[in-house]
Amino acid sequence: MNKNSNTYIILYATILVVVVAAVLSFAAISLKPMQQANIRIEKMSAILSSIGEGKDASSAPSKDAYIETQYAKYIVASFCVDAEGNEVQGADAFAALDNLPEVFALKSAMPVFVAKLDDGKTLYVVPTTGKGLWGAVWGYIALEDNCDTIYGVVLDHKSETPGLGAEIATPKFTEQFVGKQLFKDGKFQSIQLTKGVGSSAGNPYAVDAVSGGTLTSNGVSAMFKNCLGDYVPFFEKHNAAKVKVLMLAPVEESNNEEVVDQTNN
Amino acid sequence: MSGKKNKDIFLAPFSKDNPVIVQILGICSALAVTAKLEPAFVMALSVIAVTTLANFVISLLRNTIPPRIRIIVQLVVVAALVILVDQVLKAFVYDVSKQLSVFVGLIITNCIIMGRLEAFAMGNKPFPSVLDGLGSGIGYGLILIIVGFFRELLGSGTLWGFQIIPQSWYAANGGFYENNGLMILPPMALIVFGIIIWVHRSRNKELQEK
Repeated sequence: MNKNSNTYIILYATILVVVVAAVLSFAAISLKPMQQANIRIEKMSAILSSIGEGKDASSAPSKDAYIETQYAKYIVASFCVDAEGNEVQGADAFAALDNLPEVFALKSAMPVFVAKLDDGKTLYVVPTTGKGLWGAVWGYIALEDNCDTIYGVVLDHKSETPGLGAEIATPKFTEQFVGKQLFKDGKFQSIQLTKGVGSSAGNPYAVDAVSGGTLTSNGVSAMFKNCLGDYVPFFEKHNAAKVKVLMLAPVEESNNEEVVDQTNN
Repeated sequence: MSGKKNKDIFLAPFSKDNPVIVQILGICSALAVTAKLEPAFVMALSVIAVTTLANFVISLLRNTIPPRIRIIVQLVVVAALVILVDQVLKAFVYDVSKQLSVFVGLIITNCIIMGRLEAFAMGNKPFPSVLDGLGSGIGYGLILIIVGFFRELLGSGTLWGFQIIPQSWYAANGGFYENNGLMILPPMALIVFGIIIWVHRSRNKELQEK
């Protein structure tokens, strides 16, 4: 057969493309469950490390099973809140993590995870997402029960420069956030990344930026401001409800219901 | 095919016909992934897998491929294999695939692969083609690992993520040492390549142009 004839070329190209497409579709479909399981485990593991748990994953016989059990043990609840800080019924907080930029653009159902530590401490973990220098940056912020003090932070990035911007994902950088505060005299302040080693010393609203990673650092600052800012109504409501419950704790049950009504208004 | 010749096909790309430092191919991806040793190693494995398989497939098809669209056919085969490698990495070594991110996709544009397909697999039987692909892939990988070794050691003070330079040496801890930030940027990779090529050529006089 003449290999230069148009019929042969078209036929050859068609068969080749169909065969390749079939092979790739088969591979994509058969590997998809494993890939999704990996992504799921990665998210669980990030949430766990923001509350300082799940550290033994690499030495565990089965990393996946270890993370699953740890997650089930420490993350006691999850829900979504809207821009007014009200809980949204029927929204899956974990599924919302799949598309965070859209979640924060709509602001209709932003996920919150509630963790309970071994010592009885309750923590609130919220996700954040933003832009670094080359691509997306994201992270999980664990806040103490007052929704003000930072308990732990985990940051990750898609393609920041190794050794420079990529340093934001290292424990050395993220442990700076521990104990920092979001609110100053009841007003949302966020956390700034300031230039220069030691420039943030003594400032509860700032950490040292990554040297050589200014644009990435700016991205992280903006991410904190935007994403945590979106949760501010929820934080404020949460604290207001807590104060009221504390004040009215001894009164009768019927009065308690009234309090709940007020907080929802 | 004599055994001797197959051995030559396999071993030539290691040194005197190395795709990176003699043919100067595949530099682009080599600059990008060598800041750390581990991604360099995984990239090397991925490229070895793709060159070997692509050479094998193209060699099997070589008598049926219409000459006029042969480059397109090669590209389709390479692209399909690269997507397969990417999917397999995502399913089995997710952490590493996250590190390599876009670079896996860039294997498609690695000139070494197309070069070997066009120069060798189109005109040779499957077994020598597999050897040629394997050899070229390893030749590429060796250089990647050498460059990755120096860049990670001098740029981050670590190897494979483990701290090699003692912490007490660092200026931050009262020592005298500072990591060379330039080493982790691509320009320094190019300079390291230049040094390797220089050393290689002074040891192999027959490679020097008149």
